[in-house]
Formats: sequence, C-alpha cells, structure tokens
Amino acid sequence: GPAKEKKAEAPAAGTTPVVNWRMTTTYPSNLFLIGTLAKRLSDTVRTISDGKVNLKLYEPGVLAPPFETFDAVSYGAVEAGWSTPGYWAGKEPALQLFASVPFGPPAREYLAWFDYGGGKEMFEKIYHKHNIHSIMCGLEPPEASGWFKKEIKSLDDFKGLKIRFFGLGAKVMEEVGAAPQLIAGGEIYQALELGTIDATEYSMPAIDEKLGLYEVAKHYYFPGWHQQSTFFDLMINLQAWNKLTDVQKAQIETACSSNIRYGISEGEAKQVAALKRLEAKGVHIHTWPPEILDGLHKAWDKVAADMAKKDPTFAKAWTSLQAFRKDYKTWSERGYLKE
Amino acid sequence: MTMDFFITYLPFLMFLVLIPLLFSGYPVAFVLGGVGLAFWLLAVGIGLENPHSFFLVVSRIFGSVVSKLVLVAIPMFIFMGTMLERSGVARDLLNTLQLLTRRVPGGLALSVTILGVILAATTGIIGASVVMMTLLALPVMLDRGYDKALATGTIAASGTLGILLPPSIMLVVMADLLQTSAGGLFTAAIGPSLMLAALYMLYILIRTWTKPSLAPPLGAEEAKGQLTVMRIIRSFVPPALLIFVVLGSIFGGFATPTEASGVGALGAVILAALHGKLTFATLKDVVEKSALTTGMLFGLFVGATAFSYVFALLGGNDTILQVMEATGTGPWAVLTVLMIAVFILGFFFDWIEITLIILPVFAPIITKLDFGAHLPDQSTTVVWFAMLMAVNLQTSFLTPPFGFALFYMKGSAPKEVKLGDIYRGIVPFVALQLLGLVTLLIWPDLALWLPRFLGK
Amino acid sequence: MQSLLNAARAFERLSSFIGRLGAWLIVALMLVIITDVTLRHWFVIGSTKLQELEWHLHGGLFLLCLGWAYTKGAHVRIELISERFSARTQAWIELLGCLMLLIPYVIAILHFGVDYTSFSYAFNESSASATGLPDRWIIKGAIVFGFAILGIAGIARALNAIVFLFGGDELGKQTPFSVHHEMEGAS
Ligand code: NA
Ligand code: NA
Repeated sequence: GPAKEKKAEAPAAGTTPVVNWRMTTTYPSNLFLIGTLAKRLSDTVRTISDGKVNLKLYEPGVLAPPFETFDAVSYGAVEAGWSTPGYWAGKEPALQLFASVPFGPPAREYLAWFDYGGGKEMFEKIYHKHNIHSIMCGLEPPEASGWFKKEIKSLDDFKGLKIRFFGLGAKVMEEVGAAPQLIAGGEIYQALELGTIDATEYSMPAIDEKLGLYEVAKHYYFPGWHQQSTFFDLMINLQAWNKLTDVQKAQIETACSSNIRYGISEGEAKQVAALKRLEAKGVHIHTWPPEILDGLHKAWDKVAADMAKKDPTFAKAWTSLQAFRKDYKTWSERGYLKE
Repeated sequence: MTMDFFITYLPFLMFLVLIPLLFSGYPVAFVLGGVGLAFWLLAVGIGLENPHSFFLVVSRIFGSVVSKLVLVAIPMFIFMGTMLERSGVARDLLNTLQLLTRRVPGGLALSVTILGVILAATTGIIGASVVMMTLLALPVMLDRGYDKALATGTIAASGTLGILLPPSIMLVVMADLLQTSAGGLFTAAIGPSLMLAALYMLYILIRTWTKPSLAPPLGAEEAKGQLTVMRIIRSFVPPALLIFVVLGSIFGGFATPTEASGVGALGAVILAALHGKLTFATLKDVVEKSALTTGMLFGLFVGATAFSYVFALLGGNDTILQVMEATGTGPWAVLTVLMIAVFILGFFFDWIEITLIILPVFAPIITKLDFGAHLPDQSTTVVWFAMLMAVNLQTSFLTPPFGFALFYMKGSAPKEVKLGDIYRGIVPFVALQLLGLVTLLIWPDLALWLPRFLGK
Repeated sequence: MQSLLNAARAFERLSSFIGRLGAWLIVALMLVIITDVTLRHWFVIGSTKLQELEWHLHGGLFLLCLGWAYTKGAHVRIELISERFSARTQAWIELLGCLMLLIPYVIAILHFGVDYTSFSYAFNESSASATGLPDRWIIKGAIVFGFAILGIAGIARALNAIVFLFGGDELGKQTPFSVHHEMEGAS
C-alpha cells in the first residue's frame, strides 16, 4: 500500500528515485500464464532493480475492472496495466493484429515481424496516441479451437451454430454462418450445459482443464486457428514512462523479454500433461480437417479485407504483416525441416 | 512514526467516519460516495495519492455496474415482482397458501421460505431476489399480523439463498479464482442451500409454535368456506405457470438465467392481462415504481463502489491481508482465521470485495492444506472450502450494519417497516447461518456427497 | 426565499421528468430480451448486438432514475436514530449532507466522467467485441447525464432545506421537511 511505498522511498534518497507503481491486470494472477506472467514480471523487475522498481500487482476489479485497464493507464489513474492488446479493439481495431491473428504466424515468426519487420514502431505509435507506452511482455502458445457439444464434420455444420466467441474470430464465425454470442463469463458453463449455446471458444488445455468445460461439452478441437500465438503487453502511462531513467527503462524491458521467453517455454511444456488428463476424462480431442480450415481461412481473408477497408491503421498493420509473412516463406520453407 | 501510523490506519478511519454519518439518516448511497471522495481528497492533500485516481470510480461505474450483463436481471425481476404484486396474483397465492397451511404454525412464513428456494433456482443475483420477495410477501405477511421482525428476517434470509443455490454468479467467480469447475461448485452448493432452508423452516416452526402471536393463525371462522378447489386452482395455476416458464426457459436451453428474468417479466405482464388488471395506468404505475426501486438499488451499488475503491487505494486490503497472514499456521488455524475474517469483513463489505481481497492470495494456500481423514480426499479441499466461504459470504448480506440484503429490503418494503425491525429480525437468522457454517465444517459431506454421487 | 422555493420546484420537476421518461426503458429492456431469446432459439441469429443493447438499456434506466429516486425519497436511509430528531435537525442534516456529501461526489463524478466520455467520443470507441455495438460514448455519456440530474435533485433538496430552515413558517410548510407537507414515497 501507499504506506509501505512511502517508507521504501526514504532510505533510497540517493541518485535515482525509487519507482513505486500500481499495476492493474485483466486476469487473476493465479491463472496459468496469462495471470502468472504478470506476477513473474513484477517479481523479476523488483529483483533486477534491487528493489528500486516496484510494480505492485492489483487483481482485476480491486482498482480497475478488467476492461477498464486501458483507460486507467491512459488517464494516469494507475501507472501500469497488464493485458493483451487484443482487448482494445474498441479503442483501436488495429491493436488486434498485435495480439493474435487468425491463421496468423507462430511465435518465432510473430516476434520476427514485431522486432524486425516494423511491427514495434506501428505498435508504439498507436499506443502513444492514447498516452500509453506499451511493451510486449508475454507470449502464449496456440490456444485450442474450443469446446463443442456436437462434432463438426463440415463447414456447413457451422451454420446456425450458437458459439461464444470474441474478437476477430467472431467475425469469421459470422462469415461462415455461425451465430456468435456474448454470454457473460459467469454463465458460459451453464449456457453450454443447457444448450443455450452449442460451443464456446476458451483457452488452452492447461487452463481449460481446470474450469471443467469438458463436463458439459465433450468435443475439443485443435488447432486454434484463431489464436496461434498471443501477445501480452505491459501498458505504461506515457508520462510515467518518460520519467524513468534509462537504466530503469532497460530493467523493465529486459524483464519483459525474459517473460516472453518463459511464456513460450512454460506454455509449451505444460500442455502435454493437461491434454492427457483431459483425454483420460473422456474428452474427444479432434483435429480440424483441412477442408474446414481452408473454408475458415477464406472467410478470414474476406473479413480482414473488409476491416482494412474500414480502418486505415488496421490496413497499414495488416499489409505490413502480410508482406513480411510472404517474404519470410523464402526463409522458413528452406530453413526448417518439414515435420 | 505517528504519520506512518496514521497512513496505515487511514482506510479504517473511513469506517469511523462512515458509521455515524450513516446513522444521521442521510441516504446510504450518498454517504458512501461522499465519504469515499472525502478520504480520497484527504489522501491527495497529504501527497499520498495522485490527483487522477478518482477517475477509476467512473470506470468502475461503467465496468462493474453499467456494462455487466448479469445485472440486467435486477430491473427485470423488480418489474416482475411489482407487476405480480399490483395485479394481485401474488396476494391470491399467498392467501391461499395461508388457508392451506392454517394448521401449521407460521404456515405463511414457511411458504415464503419455499418460495425463496424456488426463486433462488432462477437467479443468482441477491438484489433481484430480495426485492422481489419483499414486494410479493412482506405486505401480505404484515396484513396477516405477522411480527415485523419474523417476517423481514424470513424474507431477507430466504431471499439471499439465490447466491448460494445454482445458478449463482458468486460460485462462478469463486470457481474462476480457485481454478476449479463451476459445475462442481454448483452441485456441491445444493446440499448446504437446502440445509439452510431447512434450518430457517425449523426455526420458524419452533418460534411460532412457542409464541403463536408472532404469526397469528387464521381463525376457524375466517377460514371457513373460503377454501374451495376452484380457489386453489385459480390462485395456484398462474404463478406455477410463470415459475414453470422461467425455470423452463433456463433448463430447456432457451435462455440464460439473466435472460430468463426478461421472460419472467413478460410472463407477469401476461398474467396481469389475464387477471383483467392490465390497464395503461397500472403499467405506468408498475414501470415507475420498479424504476424507482432500481434507482435506489443501483445508487447503493454506485456509492459502494466508490467507497470500497478508495479503501483499497489507501491500502486497506493489504493491511487486512497482513493481519490475516500473521495469524496462525496449520490447516485448522488457517481455515478458522479465514472464516472469522470473512465473517467480520462481511459486516462492512459485500461478497465481491471480500472475494477479491482474500481469494487471489489464499487460493494457492488453501488447495495445499491437508485436513487428513476429515475429508474424503485431498482434492476435495477446494470444493469444501469454497462452500464454507460461500455460506459465509451469503451471511455477509445479512449482517448489519452493511447487510446489503437489508438495505434492498428497506428500499422496497412498505413505509411502516423500519430498518430497526429489519435489524432485529435478521439476528436469529444470522445465528442460523453460523450454525449452518459450523455444521458444514464438522460434516463436509453435506457439500461433498452429491458431487461424488454424480461423479463430478 | 420564494424564488428559492420556485427554483427547487423547477429542479424537482426536471429530475422527475427525466426519471419518468427513463423508467420506460424497463419495458424496452424486456422487449429486447424477449427478441434476443426468440431470435437465437428459433431463428439462430448472432445476438452480440442485442445483448449489448440489453446492458445499455439497463445502464440508461438506473442512471436516469438516480435523481428522481432522490426527489421521491426512494433512496435507503438508516432512520434508526434520526427519526427521533426534530424536523429542523433533519433539515439541517439534509442540507449538510447535500453540501458536503452528495454535491461534491456528483461534481467529482462529473469532472472525471466528462473526460471519460470525451476520450471515448474523440477516438470513436466502439464495442471491444468485433460483432458488437458502435458509439460507446453514448452510454458513457449517460453516466455524466445521470449524475448531473442527481446533482440537480440534490440542489433542489438543499434549497428546500434552506427555505424550511430560514424562510419562515408559511414557506416552510410548502417544503418536504414540514410535517404538514404530504411527502410522496418518503422512506
Ligand atoms: Na441462484
Ligand atoms: Na454485511
């Protein structure tokens, strides 16, 4: 609390002022990866700054409700926020392209574009418009495609499917004739159980397993075409960021880099056991047949083209990512073994 | 030194200021908001707080009150209750129930408890069920000469069962924070909910048996000749149909519990029309009365969000956690400290604040506690703990001074009902809650048996 | 003093008018929910927009009614002790409550709420859900509007208290604080 922060400031009255920030988050800190990475960030920054940079973590809702994180940081009510850029589509549609893209790149390619393909510059420019400096600070492996009450055998089976879906993927669902629903988080389980909805997108096996959706929908689909890899970011109020010393900035950036690395390694490592346990519980694990994926991919291309027409910033980021991916093939198709 | 002390206890000072102001008789909603603001200004004044942070109160009004889809059920159930009351449907039913149960002491109160259980199965939002129960049952009970304390206590306690019996938004939030299955908690909550309902009924029976004046029975003269088959059918069928439609829309997979509230509202309008009571004047009257009640209830939400935000901002949550963490080790000590803390916090906060303060920090600790042979196996610790917590949090709605259920009731009760009556009425029911909590502590299978039986 | 009383009446009429109008959103809300359930089940239509409209209506409903509820005395009070106070003491409490609790609180919400809404407007904010509703500033603006009306109801109440305390018997009788006054819906 502020009391302790005040105390901590006194002995450090040397050359660099101690940084005591509040960091609000969109996920409970005990949620695998998406929450634990925020906790890890806070711990790492404190350690490598020798206790001089403190990001005190506040659970969602304690200060800001989860979806108010952006406004809270932008206005300077809190200094920092942990989230994914994908949540802020209502503020800037283009930010969705910096979280996860349907049929988008896997982690290594996504990072290559972000760091060396012009992604980062666009990303920072968009956020700066809103008085936020954001740092990519976590990366999560592919999500599952979701939980379905009935098997999906062809693209036609999506017609009339009541599915809870969020973000760009919801647009794709609409395109193939499904009816995306907005069910309150607290009512998903029961809505699925009672057939109010037929399916829901959720997260990855290590998270899904704990929430028990398999009790009410037995068909679990892969790959998660809508979310091949997902970025998480640390949003910082721009004035607060500008007040940091170069060392402090480097400390936060370094902690975020290390967070990305751990997100990938831990995320990749922990799915196997979870999948096995789910299978043992009688979950039918399916892989989308190529023709369904093709159909969804075509639908996405159309959605992306529509969105690019509506929003110039989205168009710019989308073109950049597409161009990078096209070029990247010259390398990836030669450099990697086909498994 | 003294400054540090002052800063650490500043959030608790908020309560010292709040309580006398509440008893001044100025509206609770505005006292909460005003005191929150005053302490924030004080914190800004002494350099503890940045001058932007009150912004988040607006964010919280939008993010936690306006854009919360589940809260849509509140105005809908209030409208439904007001319409049923105005059209006489509720009165007919309760009068008939009293005729039917005239040989049982406290028959009407017992019927109201059962109504509470049924209503609890349709909504998980306390504001909705307490207001609706108050609108439907309180005037009839008072007309029949019921003791105010007994009537209000019965209604408030039965009305809060909604947050325990599935569907329950509270259990879903807890499942999320404890990373366990919501379905598992739903199944586990059925036992404790029914136990509490049974405790209420037992209490009502004993109280009214020993002191019949609390619940005056119908005189033989009054009852004579009134109870005809036709009357029973006429008073039972419409509300039964409505309950069937609301529950049916949920369990038939047509609607979420939130949406079912809208279905119920329309159902109430149709019933009023069938009763020949639906004129434009009645509709206008019902619309306005429900809107006022809605304004009252959300005024409380909005004030409370400002107050609890400033409390957290000033470090109140941290201090509570520090005190709790400093007390006790070992599974039983940790559990006891947690239960006592939740109960005490319940005097002042609502369930969402308490869960947010406690669960993220204690969830990892709880799952690892080993109660040995007391539980069937280690993995059920979480579910058992969640149920203990849930019963305890349900109680927080009932404990004065801030039992929100009591406020909701006061805001929708007839004028002659004073908050003092309600406070008096709730005390025995809070004791019953504690009895229930202890029973669940001693006998975990009350919650754990059903999930095991169903293989969840 | 007469003019203060007239002003109080005008403010009360305004907050009641807005509240009475807003109250009908309850019927709109009911109809939207029914439409949503029907369309989803029998016509299988994506309903993100309707579901968002539901909470827009619920938000609009209670925000527009906050002030009216104050005018009508519908907000909960703990009258355990205060009911024993004299009418003058109660009027003093109401006046001080308005000036020191309600009105500052409303001003703070308006101050930050205007920023909150204008950012939303400036960046043309829409739903975070790709299939949701545009123009978030409207419902965010409802917070500002609703609190402004609450503030107006508060000022009306404070003026009534002033008239009762300082305006003499004749005028005092026409305020809600007078025992002779028929107080509608007071709690
Ligand atoms: Na319930
Ligand atoms: Na309480």
